[in-house]
Amino acid sequence: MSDTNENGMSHYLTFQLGNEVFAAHVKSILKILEMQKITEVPRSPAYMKGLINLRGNVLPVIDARLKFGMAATGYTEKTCILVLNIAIDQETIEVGAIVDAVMDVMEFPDNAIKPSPSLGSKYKSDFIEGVMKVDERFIMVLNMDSVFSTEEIIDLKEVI
Amino acid sequence: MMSMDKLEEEFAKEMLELRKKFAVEAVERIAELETAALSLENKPDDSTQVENLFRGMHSLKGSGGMFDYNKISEFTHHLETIYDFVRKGKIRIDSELLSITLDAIDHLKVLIEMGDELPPEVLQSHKTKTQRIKDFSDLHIDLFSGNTPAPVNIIPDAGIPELPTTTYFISFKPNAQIFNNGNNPLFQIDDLHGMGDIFVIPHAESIPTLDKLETDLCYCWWEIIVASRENQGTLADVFIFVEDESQIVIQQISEENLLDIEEFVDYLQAFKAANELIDLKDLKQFIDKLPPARANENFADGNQNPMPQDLKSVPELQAEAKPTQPEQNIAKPEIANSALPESTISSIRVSSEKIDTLMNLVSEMVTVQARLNTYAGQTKDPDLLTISESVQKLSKQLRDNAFSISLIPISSISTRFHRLVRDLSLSLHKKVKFVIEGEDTEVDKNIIEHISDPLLHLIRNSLDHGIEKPEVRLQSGKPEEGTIRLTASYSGSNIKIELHDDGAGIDKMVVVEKAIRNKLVKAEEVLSEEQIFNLIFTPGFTTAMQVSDVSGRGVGMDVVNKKISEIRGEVSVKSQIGEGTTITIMLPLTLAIIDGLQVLIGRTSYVIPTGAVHKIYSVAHSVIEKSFDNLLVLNGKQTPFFYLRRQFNHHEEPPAREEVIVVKYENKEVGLIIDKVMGEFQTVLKPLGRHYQKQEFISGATILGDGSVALVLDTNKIISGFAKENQKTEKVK
Repeated sequence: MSDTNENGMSHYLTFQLGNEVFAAHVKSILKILEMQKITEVPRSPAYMKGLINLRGNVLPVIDARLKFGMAATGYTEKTCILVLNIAIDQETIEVGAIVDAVMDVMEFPDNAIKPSPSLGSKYKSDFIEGVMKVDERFIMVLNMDSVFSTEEIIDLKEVI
Repeated sequence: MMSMDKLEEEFAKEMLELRKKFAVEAVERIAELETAALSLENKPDDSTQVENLFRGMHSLKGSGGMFDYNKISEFTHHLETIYDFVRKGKIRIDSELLSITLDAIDHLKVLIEMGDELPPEVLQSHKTKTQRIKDFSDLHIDLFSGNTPAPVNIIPDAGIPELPTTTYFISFKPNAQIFNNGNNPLFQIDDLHGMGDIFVIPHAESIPTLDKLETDLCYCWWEIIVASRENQGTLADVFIFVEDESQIVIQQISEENLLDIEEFVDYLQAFKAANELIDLKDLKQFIDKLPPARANENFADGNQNPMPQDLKSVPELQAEAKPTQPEQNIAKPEIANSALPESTISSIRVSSEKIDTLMNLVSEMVTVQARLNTYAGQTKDPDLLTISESVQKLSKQLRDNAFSISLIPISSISTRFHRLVRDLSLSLHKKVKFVIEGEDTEVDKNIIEHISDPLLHLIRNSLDHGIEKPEVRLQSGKPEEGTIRLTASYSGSNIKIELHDDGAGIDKMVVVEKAIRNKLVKAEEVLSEEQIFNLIFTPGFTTAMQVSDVSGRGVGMDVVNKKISEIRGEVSVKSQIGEGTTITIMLPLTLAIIDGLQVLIGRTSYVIPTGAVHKIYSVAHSVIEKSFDNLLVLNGKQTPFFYLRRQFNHHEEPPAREEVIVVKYENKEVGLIIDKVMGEFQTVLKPLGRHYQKQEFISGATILGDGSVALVLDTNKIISGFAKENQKTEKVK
């Protein structure tokens, strides 16, 4: 399966964390769930929120706000869990990511994604694939594979 | 109509499928051969195993040729010849023959994998191996026949008791289209060759002139006289693959070996030379005239109804077909009967993928059923409750059944162990007896897959470092032959596998010295025996004095330990110097489903495997508060405990009374304090995935009846892990 259709266009899902808007390629998003009860796992990092039941299997859930070093806020009715399919070391696993709100699915030509303007270190820029301009606003396209496979907390200020 | 190309393509596709199937079956057949060969080592006179070997090779040869594994076909042919002589009592099984056989079996595995196109180095060894077998068969067969080593006309050795040889007449008339299914009728004739003396009269009269010849049709047929000690059924078995596509008549013509009689052979020669058909009436008369001592009873019970009288020409015979020829009708079912295996099909082969899927589905159903149960309980609708109960019963049965399907006996991997011991003891010049007890102990197939490599490694270790050389053993007053004993048994909700050797044992001092040298422990540390032996499992440890070819490269026991831990198993070692070593492996019965005690801490549900639970006490919170040095007095015994509410950072207000689950840990009793026991139930264990790899004290998660997730605790890891932590914090204090 190709990530891009024949016109060189790809679909991206945009979502909100705090005041920032992010985009992720739809290839890594399996489904979007409403917020639900999460079983906490003791002695785990704060951003690892716990486990939910996804059709008879257990899905680890990560709070994306905490993962990006943002302050925790209460969950609202807009809060969603994105079920992601991410690749780590040759295997693909499913993981949930809590985001403040899901906004839209948009189609962009691949060449609309420009390298991040930041001068951030090479290592950090692993987390973003690039930046797109939508309605005079920059949206960061995240590399979900690396964002949700690392154990560290990503400091957004450093990345941007 | 399909184009020629398409047809060819279809055919190629089908062939590929068949080849794959053949390869799978062949691998199993080769494994059976290996088992048979190994068991012959202990009981060289076991005729059933000889028979198994012969038959296995025979069928590999046949089907190998059919599916373009010509190398296999050719290779097994020579082996088959040898074993044919063995089963006739003309060659005795000895260690040389068994070595050749086992070596050949290994080579067969290679051939199955590579097919006919071998890389040069393999081809070279293929040639060497083929030659070795040929040499063996030439040497021995020559010896016994006292004649040229041709497989035909072997005069039975006088010294060996003979079964009566019977002479049969066979008419084998393949249908013209027989080649379409990949059959080659010459194989059948070749097989008959293997069964005794044979005289073949080929009939090629129907072959048309070249311009009319269709290359994919069979124009030939054969009349065959076989003198064999096999019964008619076995002869009929030869035609098992072609019986639907040929007309076969098998008739006993004498209870003697007529081919031993010169006049008879001359008589046949005359027919062959003149290219005439054998008239069975004439043949019968001729046999009657033979000296009575030789041929006293002809045409056994087929007397009244002698053979196809009118075997005159191909078209005629075909025209006469079945209804007019009663013999055909008699002969046919006879063949069919003997071709059928005596027992009905007692097992079928299913891909392990299907079983995994089944287990997953059953697991999901168990989960859904728990939900139904909870819901029915809430509604209090009597009808729904009844339905829910029935579903519960059924799903329990289904679960047990599905679970038992995925169990396979230890014996399924034991051949590898036998083989290893055999080969290794030879190359190390040690005498070792390998005994397996409890071979029929059944284990989840996923566990079997995980333990076979660690077990092989352990056995290798025992042989290499445990069992001493014969002379050393004799000096220390032990029997020359060492024993390695593998015992498998059930132990509660676990499987216990013990590997015992009566070898040199492990020297604790050497272990400690080595550990100190490798900086695994400090010189001043005082260690218990158990701790010392546990050092063996530390990464980078090995007691081997030198790096040998076999084991002792320092990557031994720690890998074994890791592998076993991965499937929630445990390894321990006991050893007495001079007396031997016992390695005990405890394994869970299954990886998928466990019995568990559902407990609550705060609002979170946890599951503690029932197998670990010893006793449960109820204790007031105030007592726990006031406890001294983390000890509680339970039933008059001082019991160390862990307050899980604190360890797990639950900050809710604790209840007035809490419960202590007492679990066994290394022969000690340890209490785990939780809020409340909710009940016991069967849980489907789900892995947590790599995001929670570091939470070692949790072995997985399970889904409860209400759909929420509960964590399954690993009590051993909780106790060992938290104990270490507490020690550290105390030292800090």
